[in-house]
Amino acid sequence: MPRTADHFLPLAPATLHILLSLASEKMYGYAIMQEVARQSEGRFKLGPGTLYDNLQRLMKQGLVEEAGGFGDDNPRRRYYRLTGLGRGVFNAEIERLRAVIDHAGLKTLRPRRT
Amino acid sequence: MRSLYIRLLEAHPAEFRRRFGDEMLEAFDLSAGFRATAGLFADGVLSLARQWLLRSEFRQPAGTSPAYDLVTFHQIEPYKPSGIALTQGGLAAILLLAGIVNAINHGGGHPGSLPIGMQRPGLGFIKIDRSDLEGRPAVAAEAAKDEDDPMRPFARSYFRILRALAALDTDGDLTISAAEVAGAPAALRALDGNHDGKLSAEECGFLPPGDFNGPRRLLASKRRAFVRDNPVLAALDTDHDGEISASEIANSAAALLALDLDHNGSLSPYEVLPHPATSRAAGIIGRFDISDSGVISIAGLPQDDPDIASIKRLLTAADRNRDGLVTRGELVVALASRAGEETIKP
Repeated sequence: MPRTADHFLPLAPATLHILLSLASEKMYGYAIMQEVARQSEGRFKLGPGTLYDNLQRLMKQGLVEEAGGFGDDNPRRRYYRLTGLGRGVFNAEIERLRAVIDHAGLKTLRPRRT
Repeated sequence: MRSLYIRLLEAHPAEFRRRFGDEMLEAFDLSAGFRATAGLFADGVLSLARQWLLRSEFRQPAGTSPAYDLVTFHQIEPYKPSGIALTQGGLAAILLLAGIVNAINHGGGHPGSLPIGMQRPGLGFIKIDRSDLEGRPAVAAEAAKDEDDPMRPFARSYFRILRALAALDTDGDLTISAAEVAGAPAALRALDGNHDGKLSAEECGFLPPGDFNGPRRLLASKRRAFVRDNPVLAALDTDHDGEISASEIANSAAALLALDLDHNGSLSPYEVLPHPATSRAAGIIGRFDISDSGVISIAGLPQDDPDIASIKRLLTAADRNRDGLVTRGELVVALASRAGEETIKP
């Protein structure tokens, strides 16, 4: 039975950052690490071991795939991109987070009863 | 540092290393600064542990990796046993182990081939060959006998040291049975190492002091004392010359029966062990009979001996005729009576 996007939620922080990095374009591993550091303003850094462990799992789950071919500038580089399922999972996670934030905002704006 | 990081990558599972090794090394090459390098090493070590301990499902079964550019096919899917399978496997292992233990506890076999841990034959299927132990009492049974009779460990040592006794007690049960008494001539002839037809004290178990360099006469005296102080040898050496001659060997069966105090045809340890008083007297005479005259002169005792006071009291009490000389007989009587007093005292 095919898995739905909701099956993968909620995502771990490292997974979310990797999917977020690949959401706009295909990337190779070191660029993903740099992008994750940029997204979190340096607070969240992925080491190569953690990154490729996550990529290995995400490819196994069918959320990420190789973009095909090696990097033109560096033969060691491989590019990765989101699959259709991966994009669906990423969107579902963003929706979930948005709902959480909206709910938190409503609670914050609601006047306190005394 | 780079070569060290490469070694770290090489320690990863082959599948992971082939797939991501180059890219991880590129990340290392692009890093700058000591802190970044140290962080990469820490990350590498964690990755190593994670891949080996937690990521078995990503490793291909042996023989399915595409080595040497050969076309291969995955015959087994990457597999991780489920919890139910592990539970069932564990239960099956426990049942198998319980079955083996049960087979051992209730096992047995035909005579001469007993299961491990068994003392008696019975039905069973785990066999070991004990043919070399036939006729000898089991170790466990010996231990039980030792608990019943504290003298047995001493008797066992005595039978081992006195070679003549060890030869006579062919089944090692610390008793010279009627059959063993009857077979005494043949058993004793087997001790005749130099084939001169007679048994010297050494051939019977006498061990001269390793550093002995005194007169030969003194050594001969010690040999005679050895034969005289061990009841079995004393019974065999009917002419009291300190050796068991050919004729004495031939008559050994009848000579041994002289020790059979209860007339049951066999010799128990208590009938062949030397009397404690005899043994102690032999030790004291060997220590203080410096002139090898067979008697101890009380006046000639060495004053620098640490036990001089107690020995002097013992010898003075033993000297019944008050001549200042203590014979072996006087000393044995004194020691035996002292032992009796100690036994009677509450």
